[in-house]
Amino acid sequence: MSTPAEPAITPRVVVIALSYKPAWRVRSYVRDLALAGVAVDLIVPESKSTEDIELDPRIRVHRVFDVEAREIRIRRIEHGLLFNIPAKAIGRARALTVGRPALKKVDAGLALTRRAQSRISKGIHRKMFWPAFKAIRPVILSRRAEGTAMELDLAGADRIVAADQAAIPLAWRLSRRYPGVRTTIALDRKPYVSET
Amino acid sequence: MTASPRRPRLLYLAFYFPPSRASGVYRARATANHFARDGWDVTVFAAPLGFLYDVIGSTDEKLLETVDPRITVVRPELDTFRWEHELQNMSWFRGMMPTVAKRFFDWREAKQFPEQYVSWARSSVAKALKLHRSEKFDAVVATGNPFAAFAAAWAIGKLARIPYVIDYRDSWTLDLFKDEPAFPPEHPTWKWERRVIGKAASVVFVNNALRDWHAERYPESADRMMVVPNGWDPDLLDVPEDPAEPVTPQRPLTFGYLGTLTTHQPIEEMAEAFRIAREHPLLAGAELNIFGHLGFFKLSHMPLLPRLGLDAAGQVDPELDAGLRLRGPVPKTEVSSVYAGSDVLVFLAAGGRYVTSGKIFEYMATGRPIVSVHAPDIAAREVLEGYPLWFHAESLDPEKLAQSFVEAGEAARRADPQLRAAARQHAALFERDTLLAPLENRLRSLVRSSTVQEVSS
Repeated sequence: MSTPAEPAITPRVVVIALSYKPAWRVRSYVRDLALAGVAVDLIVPESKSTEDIELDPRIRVHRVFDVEAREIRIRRIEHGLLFNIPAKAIGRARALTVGRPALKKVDAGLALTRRAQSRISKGIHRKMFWPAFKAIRPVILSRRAEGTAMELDLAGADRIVAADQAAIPLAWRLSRRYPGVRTTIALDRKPYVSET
Repeated sequence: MTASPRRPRLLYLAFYFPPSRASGVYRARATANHFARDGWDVTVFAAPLGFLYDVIGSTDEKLLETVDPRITVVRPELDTFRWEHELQNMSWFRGMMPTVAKRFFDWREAKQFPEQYVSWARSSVAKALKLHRSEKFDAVVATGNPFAAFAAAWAIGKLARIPYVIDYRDSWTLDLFKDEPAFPPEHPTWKWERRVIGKAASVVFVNNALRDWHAERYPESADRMMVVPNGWDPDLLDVPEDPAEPVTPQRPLTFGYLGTLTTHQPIEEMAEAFRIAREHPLLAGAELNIFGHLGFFKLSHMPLLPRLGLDAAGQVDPELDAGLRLRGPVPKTEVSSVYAGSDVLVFLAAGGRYVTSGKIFEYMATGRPIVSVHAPDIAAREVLEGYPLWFHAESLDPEKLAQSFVEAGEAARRADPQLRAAARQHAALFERDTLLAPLENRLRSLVRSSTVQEVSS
């Protein structure tokens, strides 16, 4: 009588890639794992910037936000203060001046102010807000994405991989929560992909 | 006879030291052993074991046993930030603020010394000064790479007011494969090199070409520059016996190459030359066995295989067969048997006039015929000149190289005992201890006589 074979256990890897678009090395890593028969869960930040990426259909993709810029409060506030409110204020003022020959000079001044404001706002956004936000974004994402990650039965995962810099805080928090699961920044194929 | 029993005390900064089996470790091991044997109290500062085992993963416990037991080995700390991959081992700061942590780490490293091993150099300086306070060192020798060791030697020399010597085991600011400076002119490395060479009591190089290149750049230090070639270690190499009988005409000759093959080497020229040489009756059926890794990385063998006339599995492709056979890597303990089983050794080397290659000294020690396959102006020439069984062409032209193969084969078949003895005699000039003696003398002359007295006179 033959003994029934043990059901093969499929290794499972959770890959976290929180840069706006997963880099080529990340896409090639998840593809290689999927081809090797590994069950791959890939966590990405948002639908908007990742929906056009071609991935192996076996890879389960989980998105933290639909549009990150809308769902993170500090980005909404920043956008409002730098772009929406000044644009609206100047727009309302111009509604009173446009088409009135007596206020032609005032209108031209407002148009100039609008252009200057737009340029200054973009400068502040790029030079001041964005570098600071980039530094704290991983921490914000680590909080917001923890729920998405927790739904994935992480205790049963073979390893959790932080595939980019932005993914490290979330992976670090998970490494504390699941000390039994190897949590690494190395895109190491060795345990799953044969070398030949 | 003097009353003081104090031995001169040497601090040797050698990051790669057994159990590491990095290629530069043999020179460091031999230097420390040589000084210990000559009566020095030697303390070696080496890489932490955790780094060697977990990060590099290239160790040889047997090599550790060959270190003189009188040597004290200390392993200053190395910040493994850049090599740490496991989140579980990362601090809160790095885990939660990865961008800031990385920037801080890079900034701290760059402002100290432009190399990733600077944290080890920093710990080495602190450790050295602590040890120096309890018992004075008389001199410091630092071997690079890593070249942060040079900076550490400079700092220790300055703070403890002791002479230091830097040993360019490897090239720092010269790209050996391109024969041009390795850094742009404004790079901070130049400032550091000027600084460490300027204050060094001696600067050691592995060949004259490298010495001259540096002497030209730092003429004010030229008189303190010396050459200590790499040499071979009799305690690590069982020199194979000469064959009792000449190779019979019926037995095909065996050629051997031992070492890592890399893409820089003139592989095609070697394969083509060997294919041509095999058409000569003396070399009928001859094989060229390649012992060693193909490249340094996991997939680096792939582009090398077709260049060797082999298929993707490393097997002989009958259409391309040039008589080359892959034999794989060989443990250090079996190297002697490889030499013993080779009638002729092939010296395949990359690079040009600044490259010596450590392998050539072992090759010469075997007393076997050696065929050169490399650029004709290579620095290894200066050690091969005078070796009576050296066969070389003045170019990499396969026809001319093939002629060298044939001549070497002829010498192997003849097996002239007098020539072999002369070859071994030439190789004896390059025994490591012989080559290290001038360095030891230089260090001894630097040690202040007021602080150190000979054990006996």
